[in-house]
Amino acid sequence: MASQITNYQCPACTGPLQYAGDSGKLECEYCGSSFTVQEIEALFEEKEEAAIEATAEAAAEEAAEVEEQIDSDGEYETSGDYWDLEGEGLKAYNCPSCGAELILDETTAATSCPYCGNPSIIPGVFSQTLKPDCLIPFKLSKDDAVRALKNYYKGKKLLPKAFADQNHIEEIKGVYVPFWLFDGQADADMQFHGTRVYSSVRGDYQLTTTEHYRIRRAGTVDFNMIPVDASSKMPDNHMDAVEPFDYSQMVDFSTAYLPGYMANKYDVSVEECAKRADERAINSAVSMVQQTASGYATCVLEAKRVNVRRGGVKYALLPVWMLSTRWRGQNYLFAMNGQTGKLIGDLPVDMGRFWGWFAKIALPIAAIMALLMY
Amino acid sequence: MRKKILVCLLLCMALCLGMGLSASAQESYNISDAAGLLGAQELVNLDENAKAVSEHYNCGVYVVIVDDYRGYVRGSIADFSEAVYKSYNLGLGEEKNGILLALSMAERDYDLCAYGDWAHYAFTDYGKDRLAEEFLDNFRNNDWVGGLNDYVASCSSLMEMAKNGNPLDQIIYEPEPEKPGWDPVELMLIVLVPCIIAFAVCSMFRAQMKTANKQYYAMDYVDQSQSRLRVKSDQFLTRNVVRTLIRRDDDDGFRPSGGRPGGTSINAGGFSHKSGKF
Repeated sequence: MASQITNYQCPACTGPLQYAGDSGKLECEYCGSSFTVQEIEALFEEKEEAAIEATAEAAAEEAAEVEEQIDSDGEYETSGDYWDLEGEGLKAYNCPSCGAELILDETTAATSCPYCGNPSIIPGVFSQTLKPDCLIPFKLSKDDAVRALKNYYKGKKLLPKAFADQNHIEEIKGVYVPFWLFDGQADADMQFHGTRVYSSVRGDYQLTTTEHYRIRRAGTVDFNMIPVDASSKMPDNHMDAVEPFDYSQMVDFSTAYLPGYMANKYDVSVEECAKRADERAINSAVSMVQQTASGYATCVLEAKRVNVRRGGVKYALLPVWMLSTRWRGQNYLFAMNGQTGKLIGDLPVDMGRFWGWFAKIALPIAAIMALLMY
Repeated sequence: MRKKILVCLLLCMALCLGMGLSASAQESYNISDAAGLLGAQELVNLDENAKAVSEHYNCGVYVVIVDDYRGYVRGSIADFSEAVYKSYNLGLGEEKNGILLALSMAERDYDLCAYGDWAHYAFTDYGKDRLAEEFLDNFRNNDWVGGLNDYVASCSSLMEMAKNGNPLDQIIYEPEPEKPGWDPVELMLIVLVPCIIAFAVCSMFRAQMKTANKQYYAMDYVDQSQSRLRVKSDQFLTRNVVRTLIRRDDDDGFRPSGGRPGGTSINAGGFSHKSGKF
């Protein structure tokens, strides 16, 4: 039986290959050889096809097993159904390097073996309709992510002093996060009541003239590839906050970009994600159209009609470094855009420092005011 | 210049003996109407009243009405008043205390002119302002007798107040002595304003600690080349105009403080004036 997992091995020394973002090539840690994505794709085409077939066979076998279980359902009374439930959503694979059994989430498409550390790709996860359309390769390395996190702590006035020193990075992983990229068009038709106010003096009187206007603006705003995180494992706020990505560096999908990183397939449907894309498109269109109603002292919205026409959807994997740290028993999760280096994450607030700064600011101002007023 | 004016005036006065003002108290009239505004009896009554008030307070109360003061002097109506006052040796007592109301009908000018220490004490600048108010409303309605009666009566009132030691003068409020300690409002400002500023700054610091935020807009993904504004219409509906009277400092007429100081402004000739139009 063919293995369901592909290991990209160095053609020169059979060492594991990893995709290096800075060179854009797959590199061997052992002999230092490097290969382009195209070279590796050509070399491992057959192996990948075999892995996809093996995945399909395994799925068929699994289905047969389920049927058997149903047939024999009335004969045996097991101690509980939780065995099956426990295994729900998980799949077992064998590492082609060391033979260890890997229990992986069914959405996992790329990982590394916890025993031998070799990068492992499960091409079957991305077979046929599940295959992403495109991908942005990692540009920044793990070291870049660690440096960015250290820099992120700088200048944060309310960060507990011990946090930067005492906390340690528990886990750092480069993840190709599945995103749906939505194209669309939003039509906004809005009506406002606006006023312009003029003032002049005539004799002993001040004349205040208020002109009232009915303002109407209607516009069409086109959107290209609004990204919405399609993985339930990734926190939406973090994935939103690492935007934007530079789509000019987008390439066609190939599993050859995955070695060395984690990758998941989507588990949130297009329909669910489309709502978020629609919401963002509507908000943006309304804001842009509203901005054109300028030059008025007041501008009050009276009526609004917004229509979204959905366009194409692309399935893409986008590079994100996830860094997890722990401090005083609490986890802190950070995310860095693997292409642009934008790092985000919530930090703990030292309330002592908060009130310290409060006093540092308030007291001198109060003293100056007291001097001026007394 | 001054001499020329006086010469001119004396010549004119010589021709206008009918005006009645004279240096001799026994033969004099306190009211002179060269413009013919008053009837004979009205003139007599007013003159009697003015004389009675003058004698009572030992401070002359006079009125001179002419068609155009420019026919007598080349200067202002205040110069005319002073010239008349001096030429006819008006005023009572050693200090020649008195007050003269001069009316010039050509351009409806008036001048209130006081002379002598006691007259200045009784007719302060503020007192003259109030005195003018008493007759101006009548004069503006061509009520000459009413206005002149009010003038004489008000002169009497002002002199009575002065006699009692309380001349009508602008009330100047002295600033209240500062209370020891802090005003509660100031104290609240000193506490609240720094707290609000400090809280705003600290909240900004706190916002820097939370950067994993949901996106509500998609501005980075707008295709500017395809986006367009289809309708841009600004329809004028109506116009409202609100007229607000501009309140000026002197509209109030009563300036408790910070305005003109109280007392009487006396010029180099020893006269004090209040001039204007009626």
